[in-house]
Amino acid sequence: MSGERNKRDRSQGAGARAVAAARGTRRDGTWVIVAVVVVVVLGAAVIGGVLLQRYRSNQAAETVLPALTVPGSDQYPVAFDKNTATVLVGKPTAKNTLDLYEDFLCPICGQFEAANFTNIEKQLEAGTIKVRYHMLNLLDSHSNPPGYSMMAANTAVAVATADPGKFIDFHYSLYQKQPEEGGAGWTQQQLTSLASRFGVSGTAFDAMVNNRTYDNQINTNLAGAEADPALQQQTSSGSGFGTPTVLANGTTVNWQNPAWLDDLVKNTQ
Amino acid sequence: MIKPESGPLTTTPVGSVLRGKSSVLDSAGTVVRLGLAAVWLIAGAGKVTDPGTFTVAVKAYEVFPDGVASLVAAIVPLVEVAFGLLLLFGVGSRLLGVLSGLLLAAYIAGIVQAWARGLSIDCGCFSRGGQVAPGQTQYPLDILRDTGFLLLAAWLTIRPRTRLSIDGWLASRQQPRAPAADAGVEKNGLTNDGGFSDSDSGPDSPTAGKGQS
Repeated sequence: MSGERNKRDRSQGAGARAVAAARGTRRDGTWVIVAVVVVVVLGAAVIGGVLLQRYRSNQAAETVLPALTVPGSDQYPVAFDKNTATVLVGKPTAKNTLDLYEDFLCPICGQFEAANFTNIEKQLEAGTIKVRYHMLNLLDSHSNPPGYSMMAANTAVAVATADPGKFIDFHYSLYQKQPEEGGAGWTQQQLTSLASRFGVSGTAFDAMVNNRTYDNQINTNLAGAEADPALQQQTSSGSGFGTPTVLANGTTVNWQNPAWLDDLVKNTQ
Repeated sequence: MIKPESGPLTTTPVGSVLRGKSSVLDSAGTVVRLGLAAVWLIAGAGKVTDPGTFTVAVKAYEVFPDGVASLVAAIVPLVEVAFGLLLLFGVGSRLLGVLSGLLLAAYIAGIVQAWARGLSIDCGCFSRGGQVAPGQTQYPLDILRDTGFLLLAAWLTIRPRTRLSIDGWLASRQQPRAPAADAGVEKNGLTNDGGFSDSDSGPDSPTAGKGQS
């Protein structure tokens, strides 16, 4: 009896061990296949991600920035202030002075320009306002590679120096076609090409662009703006400086109110 | 190879419950797996279509230096999509459960450290690299949401056995056919009905007649 049971147990044990061994091998094989597939798919995702980013940068670099002219921009003077690297635009007799603190990469500045530029241009031509443009490099780290904001600001200031009459056109064109925040900003070559299509070129201009003549002053302007209590706005983590910041006659304006400019002009007539 | 019987995940009461053989749990696991797949596919697709915003967000967390942050921003979106596709088809469910858990844990850690450091993470042109309008920061909600997803990943790690999966299909192709082997296996407790007492990244070969996919 016990012998039979032992014999049965032993053969069942032997069979089970054989199966376990066989199953172990098969299991290992399956596991390896699956692991390899997962690794290959994830590897493809990593490589694909890098290639996709590179492709997007190349696309950005090949974009031709349209050279848009603002009709009527020759009806008021444009004066570059070399001490502050700011540009004052508009008739000297205008009763209101606006200070615009902007960054060429900033999408909200793009929104501001899109919503307000027509009216600002109208008021400039009518002689009711002057505008001082403060171009800053707040978002230098937000382009990939970093530094587009500074490059664009320096180039715009160089345009204002070399040919002030083309500054408004250049400024407007850059806001009509902004690079994607977080992506590759326009290259210096694209910016220079845009300027040249306005007729702004030459050795003096090239020197200012290549030597980054105004970078230091732009940095100083940014630091000054960030430290200036009159320019702070409310954020969820306290007050801070951001772009766009709009001052009218020295006080900040809530430009989200669509009537802000009309009200200002009306009140000072 | 890991032997989960002895691991921390399966010796807890929850782990023991999940170890029980149950086709109900298999179906539940399928829902978990497909849910997690949807999470990754939607999140990844959102990042692929809006790469600029994601790059700015990665930089706003101030965890990586600039160059590394750009690289991270480049690869995370497609890796998330890859996670989603692998989970959708059930390829390597346990492995994907572990990887998903690691990525989610990293996200949670990032949010916690941003919260602790007083950073505000969202779009906008402010000097600290992106700030929100007052009252819009929602760290606790984001942490809660990601923890929920982490639980899905944990389930899949403990109990990767699901229906409608390539894992199951691969395993079922290798079923032992000899009836003697089956009898011997069941008697000696080597059957793996739960699908997790082995270290497969998927369910083990079910015994004949179970009809598992």
